[in-house]
Amino acid sequence: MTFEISPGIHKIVSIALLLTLLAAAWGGVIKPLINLDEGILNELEDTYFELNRSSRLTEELERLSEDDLQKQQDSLRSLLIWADAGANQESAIQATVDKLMQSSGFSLGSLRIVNTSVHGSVSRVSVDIKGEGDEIALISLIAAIEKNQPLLIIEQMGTQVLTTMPIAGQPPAVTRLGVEFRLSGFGASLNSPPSVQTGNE
Amino acid sequence: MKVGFSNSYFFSIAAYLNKAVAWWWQGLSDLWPEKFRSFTSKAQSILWKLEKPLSQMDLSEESLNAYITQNLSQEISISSIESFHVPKDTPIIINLHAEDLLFLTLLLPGSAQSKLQEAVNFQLITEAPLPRNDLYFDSHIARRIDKHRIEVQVDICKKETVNALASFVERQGFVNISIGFSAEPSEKLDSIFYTSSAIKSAESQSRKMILLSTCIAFSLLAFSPLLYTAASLKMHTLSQRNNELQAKVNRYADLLAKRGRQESITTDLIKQLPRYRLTNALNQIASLMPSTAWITSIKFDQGVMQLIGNAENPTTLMQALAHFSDGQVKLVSVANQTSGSTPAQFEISVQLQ
Repeated sequence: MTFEISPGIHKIVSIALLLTLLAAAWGGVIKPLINLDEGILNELEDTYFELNRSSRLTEELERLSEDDLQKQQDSLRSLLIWADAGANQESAIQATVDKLMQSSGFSLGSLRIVNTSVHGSVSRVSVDIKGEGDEIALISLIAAIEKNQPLLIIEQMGTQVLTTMPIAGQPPAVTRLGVEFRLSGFGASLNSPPSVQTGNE
Repeated sequence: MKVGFSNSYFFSIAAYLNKAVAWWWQGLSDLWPEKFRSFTSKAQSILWKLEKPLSQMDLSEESLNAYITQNLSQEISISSIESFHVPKDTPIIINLHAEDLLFLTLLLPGSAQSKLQEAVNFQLITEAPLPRNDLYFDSHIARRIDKHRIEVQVDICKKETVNALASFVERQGFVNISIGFSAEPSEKLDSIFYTSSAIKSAESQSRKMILLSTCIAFSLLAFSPLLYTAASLKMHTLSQRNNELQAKVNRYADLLAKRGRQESITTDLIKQLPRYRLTNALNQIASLMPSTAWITSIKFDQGVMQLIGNAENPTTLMQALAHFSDGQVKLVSVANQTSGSTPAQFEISVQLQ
């Protein structure tokens, strides 16, 4: 059986066949090969990354010593109110604040633990303190707080004049101040958590 | 029980496939006929493309040209040879006498388009000035007059002339690529007179081109697996090296974890510490305040200090505090003097930085 088709249809069918062949070649051969290559190149890149990381860690290991780590740990321990996970945090900060108040000549009225929050690997504990003293004692207390080790920071502070002494021709002299502080100190567990091993051994 | 196709089935399928491919290729090549057949004016010349054998490569162009001119002139009456160059595919333009090339314009019905060669062949029986069997011809549609008529240009050459040229070429040790007509010496044939040897040469040339194209395509495709293999080998080497280093790192993992922990605590601690010092700020404010002003109350909350006090001249006080360098000082309020002896009460806010 023979049949005639117009030249226009002939051309369109030929183009359609050509496009089908090209699409089949692209989808069946070329694209899978490209995907294969892309996959292996990505894996190669990951391997390079891992190798660089291992090389860097190996170089750092050569420079790392137990003594240096111990010195760093000791300096950190002096900045923290507690440095062990099992330490009693409340008693630790109470002891630190008591010592500070006594040394600055400020009389402690009350001390209350407000809250404890975790910021990354550091725990922050806040306490509210009420006390009394003169101006000099207040200034020396603020200075002592800022220089203290373990670290303490003043979050809030409020003063109230309790007694004054009039002086002729000058502003009245403050003889007694009531002060409220909210102080924060820091603690952390210096003992390493379970070691994280990566890669194959 | 027979499994698979017998030979006869195979050849039947191959024959149908061959026809289908030919049909498909004809459809594609008909899309741009003007790309293959374009000329403006016709000279009476034949363009002759040859493939020079290796044995002839040492001859100079001049000596070869002279040799062909001399020998060809003895067999065929030619007007002149115009050019002879290019080392491999060698085109020669031979000017023939006018009676050896003929041009005809035929008007044919539009339905003849699909079988043009057959229609022209039939017309030449009556239209050609020489017997049909003594001619080689090539034809193409010059223009479409209307829906029902086409103008066909027919280029004709004496078979005797073409065969003599082909025969001469073969006797000289060359291989015919094609013998045809060209309007200009552009190495492009506008019409081809199909001698049997020329057809074989053309087929051979096509096979070479297809083979070359296939080789290039496969080379490009082969690049991908080669890249894959090379990358896999490289990755294997790198992984081995990585495993060695990783084993060493794992032996000291506790030490690294300890150092990481300490660095992490140090970083987090630094983030929590304020950048200002309260004592510095208070000392600076005390030094900047005029002697006629004093503070009665201090409140501090998250970096903002609120100072309440008395000043004889709050404007002077604010001008003095403008030099405060550890933050921004703003006047919040000033209360009017209530009695003659007490100066005005002020409230200022200091944002520590």
